[in-house]
Amino acid sequence: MPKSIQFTKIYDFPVEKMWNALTDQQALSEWLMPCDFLPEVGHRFTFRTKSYPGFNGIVDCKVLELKEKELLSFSWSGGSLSDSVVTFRLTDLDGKKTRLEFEHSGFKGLMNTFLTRKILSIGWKEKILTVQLQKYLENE
Amino acid sequence: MSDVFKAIADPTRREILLMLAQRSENICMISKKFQMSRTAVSKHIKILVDNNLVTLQSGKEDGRERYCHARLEALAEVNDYIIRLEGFWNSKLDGLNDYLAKGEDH
Repeated sequence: MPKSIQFTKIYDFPVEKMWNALTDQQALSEWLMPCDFLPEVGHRFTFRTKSYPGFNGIVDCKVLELKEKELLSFSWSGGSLSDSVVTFRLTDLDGKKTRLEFEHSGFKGLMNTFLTRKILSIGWKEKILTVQLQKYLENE
Repeated sequence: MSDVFKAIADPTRREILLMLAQRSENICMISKKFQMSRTAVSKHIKILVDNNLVTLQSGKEDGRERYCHARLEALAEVNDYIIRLEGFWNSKLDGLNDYLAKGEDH
């Protein structure tokens, strides 16, 4: 089972435009978060956003992989996360549409465990002591 | 590295945690109930404490005897964090579509 957050989305835009949106500093700053990204493997950059308790609003990143119109990945360290990895994979579908496979992986400790076994759901806090944990433990 | 499920992979630790989830106990009571040595119980408790599933607190009448409390909200906190992170990316990736659509108009 994948130990990551994953999304696959189809965009009605050609792969060139998608690639530009992922690798242009201004574009990334607009749709994701303000950053000083450069499309160079090894380049260190930061995303800056609003802070909240437990998170100073800064995400430290480093470009890990870059494959024109196909793949972008960078490390992601901020808040509770250290050295997790964000990956965007693009596939040109018919020259007009593009499939994006997004993945945020490389979680450590508790988060990693939880992503592999989602025993929890909404309402869990109320039920934990009585039903759900018991059931999980019995099925283990 | 903290790993809750490794901590409760052991059936005895699961039973201890379930017992503590209903009522806090001290090492002595746990060892009686499970017919185990205090040393063995202490080892299990240490793993639960290291994984943030149990906290130790001094008892009311007797400060020497520490009570073990289940801290299951540790699990819920992590779960909430993941749900928020998933929500963050999902809305950003939808926002990417809006960003691209905006470019089309120009």
